[in-house]
Parts: sequence; C-alpha cells; structure tokens
Amino acid sequence: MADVKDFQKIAMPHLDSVFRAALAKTRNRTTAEDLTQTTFAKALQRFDTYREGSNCKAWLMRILHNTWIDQLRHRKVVGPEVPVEEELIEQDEPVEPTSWSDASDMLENFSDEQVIRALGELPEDQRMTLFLIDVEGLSQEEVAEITDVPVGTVKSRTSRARSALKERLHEHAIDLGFMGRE
Amino acid sequence: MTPLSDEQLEDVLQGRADQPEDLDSTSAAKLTEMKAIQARLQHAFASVQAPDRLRTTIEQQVTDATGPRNQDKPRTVFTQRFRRLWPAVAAAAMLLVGIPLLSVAFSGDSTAVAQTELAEIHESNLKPHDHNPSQERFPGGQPCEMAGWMSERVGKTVAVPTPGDGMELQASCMASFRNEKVASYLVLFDGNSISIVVLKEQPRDLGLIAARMFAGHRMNAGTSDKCNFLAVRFEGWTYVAVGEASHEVLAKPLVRLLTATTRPDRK
Repeated sequence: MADVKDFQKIAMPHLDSVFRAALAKTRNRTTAEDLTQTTFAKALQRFDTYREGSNCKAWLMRILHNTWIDQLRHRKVVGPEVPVEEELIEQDEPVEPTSWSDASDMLENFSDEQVIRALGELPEDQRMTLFLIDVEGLSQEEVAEITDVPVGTVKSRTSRARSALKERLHEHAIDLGFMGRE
Repeated sequence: MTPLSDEQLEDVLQGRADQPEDLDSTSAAKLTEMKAIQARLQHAFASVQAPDRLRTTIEQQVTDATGPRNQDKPRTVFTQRFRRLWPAVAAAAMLLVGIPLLSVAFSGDSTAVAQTELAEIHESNLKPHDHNPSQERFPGGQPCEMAGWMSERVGKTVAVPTPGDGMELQASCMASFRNEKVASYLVLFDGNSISIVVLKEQPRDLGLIAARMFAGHRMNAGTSDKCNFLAVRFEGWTYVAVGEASHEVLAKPLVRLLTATTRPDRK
C-alpha cells in the first residue's frame, strides 16, 4: 500500500503520459484536460490501493480508461458491447496489403499532427491499444488488464491497428501527393 | 527461411521473442515497417505535454490533499532540550495554540453550515412557488430582466448565463444566507435542475477547496451528503452551482456564465 504523501513522487511524473492518453482517447484537448484532471483526482483518492513497486503508469491508465467509460455511459453514448469473437469475425475482412519501398522515408513526410490525426481515425479499441503499446511502452499484459481483454486480443488488436494506421497513412500520402496512385 | 505471422512479428517488435536469423524477406520487410510506424508514433507524441495550467491545478490538488499534516516534522538540535522542558512548553502551547485551534474548529463547522444552507436554498428553489409563497421569486424567460431584478435587490450587478446550448433559466429567487439576503437562480441543463447562488464569500470560506479546471476555467469543488457544489469567482462575486448532478454537469452553466454573459439593461 502506498502512502498518499508519495503521490507527488510516484504518480505526478506520469502526468504527460496520462494527458497524451486522454488526448488519444478523446481527440479533444479540452475534454482531455478534464479527463486527466478527474483521473488524477481519483488516483489521489485511491492511492492507498496502488501496490508499491508496480507500474504506476499502467495503474493510472486503468483509472483513465474506467473514468472515460463512466463518462461515456453517463452521456449515454456507449454502444452495445460486442463479444470479442464477433468483433474478430466482423473485422477480419481481407485487405490488400500496401507495400512501402522505404517506410521511414515515407513517414517523415507527415507532420506530427497528421500522424496523430491518422491514429485518431482508428476505432477506439485499436487506437488505444496501439497507443499504449507503441507510445507508452506498456506490456501486452498491462494493456490487457487496462482494457479488460485477454492478451491474445491485445496482440491481434495491435497488429490490426498497425495495419489500419498504415493504410490510413498510405491513403493520406496519396491525397497529399507524397505517393502516386497504383 | 522462417516466415512469421503478424502476431509473432508483434512479439518480436515488443521484445518478447527473438528475431529468427533466417527470417524470410517478406516478414523482415514487414517488421521494418512496423518498427518505422512505432518510431514515428513515438516521435509524434513526444512533443505533446500537459498544459502548464493543468499541471498547476493538479499539483495544487495534491498539495491540498497531502498538505501540512503530512509534511515531515523538522528535526533540530533542540529536540533533546525540548523533551526536558516540555511540561512548561506544553502549558504555553495550550494557551497559544488553543485559541487558533478553536477558531479552525469553528471554521470547519461554519463551512459545513454554509454548505447545508446552500443545499437548503437549492431545495427551496426547487419547490413550486405556491408551496413556498413567502419566497421572493421572478419568473424565468427574460435573462436581462432576471439579472436586473436580482441586481436591484442586492445593490450590485448580478449576471446570468445567456440561455442556449441546452440550458434554460427557470427563475430568480431571493434567499437568506448567513442571515443576509442573497440572489440565486434556477437553471435547467440536460434535465438537471441546478441552483446558482451568488455570494460575496470566497469559495474557500464555503469549504470549497478542491481546485478543478473546466473548459480552461479554474473552479472550486465540494461535496456534502446532499449536494455537489462548484464555485467560480466572476466580477467580484462567487457564483456557486448547487445540485445533485456531477461537478462536470454543474460546470456547464458556470462556463456559460463566463463565456455568454447577460447583465441587466442599463437604463
């Protein structure tokens, strides 16, 4: 159990990460600020439940995730939950893979904002899974716990999200004239 | 040559599995792309930081919660001497500390009483006028007139939020707070009835200590067993939103007050 006076030292260094995650989740700066603030207020209140030595960033991300779900439910904009199997079948449509001759060079053409916006176009579960794994460096197990799904689902979501992001960027590259149409 | 599935490549990327030395060229190209996307995402988000005002607000919340009672006591070389002298020091301390402590205790009581009074004002505002005929009340609908009616009674300009964006003004009501006449008004937002009570006291004097940011505006929140409270300072007044709705909902009419203000007509 952690002492609340250690909150400053243990939790506050993750403020930027929590804000980034809130922004990735909400896609709106003002809402992200409110969500970050509520997340820290709840974390402070429940800091005695934080296990010392465990990953505090992952603990905060779980609070953020649950807070956002609560807020969506409050606004009654959460859709019906789709069972994982059903979701996998629905999204398993074959997609013609895109190939890039030099991925790094091609990606350098995009501004940071364009990359963030392209990530924002993905469905929330894919978007957050890819964000938590790639940007925040959380493990698949930690993301599974945060998002309340099995590790296998995290793996498949990450993979699908990365492919979907690549496709989005590919389309934007064509629109912006970085690449020609095949 | 070993081909890997997408999920196996994810494991290699996350460092959970080693990259086979004889990885086939298709999988190797895919892995390179995955690494490039990961690096680009990390770079894109690296510059995103929490705004300074948000950091300040949260740090203030943490300081409020972990404040003086949790700070380490200073250790000085006088500690040993103090132990010998402590009975005399204790007697003096009782005199010196007792009086401020009593005032702190009473201030805690007085903020609890203030919040009870605010909850009672809200309860009274919710009653139909024929159940509460002694209450001075002005019907809603005309924001300028409502603001004018309240301003006349308290002798200083009182503002109201301009209706719209899902918010309606229902009535202005005069009330008594700490034995003084104060203005209040009832708004309806998204099915929630919220009273806005206009006071000269600072939020801290009402026990509303927790600082929160809503739509970029700093407000002070509090909760009693009956209601939630959210206060904002505006043009020399403290506007306190009172109701059973969450602080997020209470913030809506206050944000509207700050951004779409109606004041009495100057004649």
